[in-house]
Amino acid sequence: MSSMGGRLLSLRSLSSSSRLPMYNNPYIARFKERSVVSDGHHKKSTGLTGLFVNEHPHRSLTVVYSRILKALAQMPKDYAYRNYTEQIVKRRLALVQTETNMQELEKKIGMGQIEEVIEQAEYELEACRSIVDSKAWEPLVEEAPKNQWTWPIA
Amino acid sequence: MLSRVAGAPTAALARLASTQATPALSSEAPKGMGKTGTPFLNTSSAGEYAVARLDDVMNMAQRTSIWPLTFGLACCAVEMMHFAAPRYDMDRYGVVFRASPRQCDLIFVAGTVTNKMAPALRRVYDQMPEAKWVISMGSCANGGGYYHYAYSVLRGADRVIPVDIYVPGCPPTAEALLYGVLQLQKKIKRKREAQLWYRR
Amino acid sequence: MLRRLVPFATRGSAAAPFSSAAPTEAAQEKKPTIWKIDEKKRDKLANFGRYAAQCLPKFVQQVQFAAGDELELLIHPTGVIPVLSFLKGNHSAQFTNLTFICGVDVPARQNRFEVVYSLYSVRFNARIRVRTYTDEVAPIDSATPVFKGANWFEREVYDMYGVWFNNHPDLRRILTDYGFEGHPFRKDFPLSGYNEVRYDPELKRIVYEPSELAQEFRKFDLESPWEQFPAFRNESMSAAYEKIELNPTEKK
Repeated sequence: MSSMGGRLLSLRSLSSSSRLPMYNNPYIARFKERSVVSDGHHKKSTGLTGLFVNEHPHRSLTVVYSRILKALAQMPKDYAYRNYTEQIVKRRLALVQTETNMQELEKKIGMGQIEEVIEQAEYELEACRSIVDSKAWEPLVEEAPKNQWTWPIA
Repeated sequence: MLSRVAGAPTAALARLASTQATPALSSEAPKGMGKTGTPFLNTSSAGEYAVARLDDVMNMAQRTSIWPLTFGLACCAVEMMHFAAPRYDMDRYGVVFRASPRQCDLIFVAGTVTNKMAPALRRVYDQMPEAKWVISMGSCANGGGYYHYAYSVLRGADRVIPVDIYVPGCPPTAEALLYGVLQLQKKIKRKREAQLWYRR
Repeated sequence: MLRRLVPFATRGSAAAPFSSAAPTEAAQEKKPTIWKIDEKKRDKLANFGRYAAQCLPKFVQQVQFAAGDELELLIHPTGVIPVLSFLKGNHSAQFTNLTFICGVDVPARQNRFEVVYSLYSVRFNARIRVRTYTDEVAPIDSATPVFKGANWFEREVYDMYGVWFNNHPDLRRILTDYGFEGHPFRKDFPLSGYNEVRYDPELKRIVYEPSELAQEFRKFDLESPWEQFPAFRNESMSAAYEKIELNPTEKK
């Protein structure tokens, strides 16, 4: 009993859990290692859980935007989605390449933090790939059967 | 011995009635019960008397400290929480919630019992130690209630466990649940375990 | 961006709600419980509907407004993943939040089940619904590659209707009992089920038995003496769906 009490005291006196990790929550551990931000960066965190600060947003953005443009190039030239998205992406790419200051860039793009912009670009890339795989520019696959969308049925 | 037992309260009552003209005092027991509140009055032998007193003591111990298991399934659970809250405080009756079925003697089935939950309910009931009671709270636990005709609802908790007290309501007010617990206490008071053992 | 009209209850006027201070406010406050449709937002949604139909001509069969304000895309069942990833990813759409997936059973139709996906865009504060159809045997592609949250919703649609989803990580029952047979939300499944009565006999366990109800379910049609929706007296029943013209100039 007393030895157990003594052991408890010694555990509590440990400041960090490095010597005797009782339980390492993997989510917390992963969160901790991904959320370290170097001191020179202008923001310490995005304020959004799970969205970690990206210290080289220019590089990430140019990479993702160029991948989107490559995926868009596989679509036919008269496809509306291709044209609209190329417009948006090229505009953003130009902004990214001319503007070096982060806060100015965020304000100019106007879509929230730069990490959110990167996330939007990643989703757009998945959408492009999905559209390329399914060839969504072709005309309608099959008309709905009669009365499929009528309501009330009678 | 019987006359001495029966004589004492009547003499006391006569004395009281003669001195004061006020209505019934609180020391007067209700009809059918002895002065200490026991329902076992007509005992015919010393052994039976002793066993009846033993019954009294056991019942008193059991009914003043009923420990329920929370089996709050649906909306009735909130009324059960209200019963535990300060206004209709149940702790003053000795009723404290225990989390484990092994340590409780009452189970409040509060809420709709679905078909998926029924084996679990039966298992929990089986895990309770022997002196156990069941209060079925709310119309869903009484007989299927609002969802009686649904395909996945058990039409009453009494289909799987034997129920002692049914508390009606949807949900029953906390006061109604309190009344139900009090009725259960009265039911426990009438229990004759030791006397039946003696008689056999 | 997209504003919403301030509802009546939060209007910060010092006057008590029943005393009309200014005549204009009184006129607006006459029907406080009827939803006010924001015309600008509706136009933006209509434009977006046309844009989506233009971007996905292979799958979008119809675009319509349900209840005046709610955009719906009616698509072919093979296009679930492209349409959903388009709506999630496109920079001018960004419907990143999957609100629910549910099913509808209309037994009179050839493809009796409809699967409805409801999406919400946090950035633009807009909602959209995507509807597909299927019959009892044809499967639909699961939306879990696009939205991780679709997992349990699709399990529920499978459990309740019997709609099978391809490439679902874990398609099994979620709401019904463990050995339950049948799909409860289908219209031909009776309210009280088939063999769902259970009790605990000397077998010392729960058993299933065919249903024996003491009294059958009685449906009362209690008509109230008051008209239910006096503001909508003149509307026809099918007026709720307003189809958006996709290509007004050229024939599809």
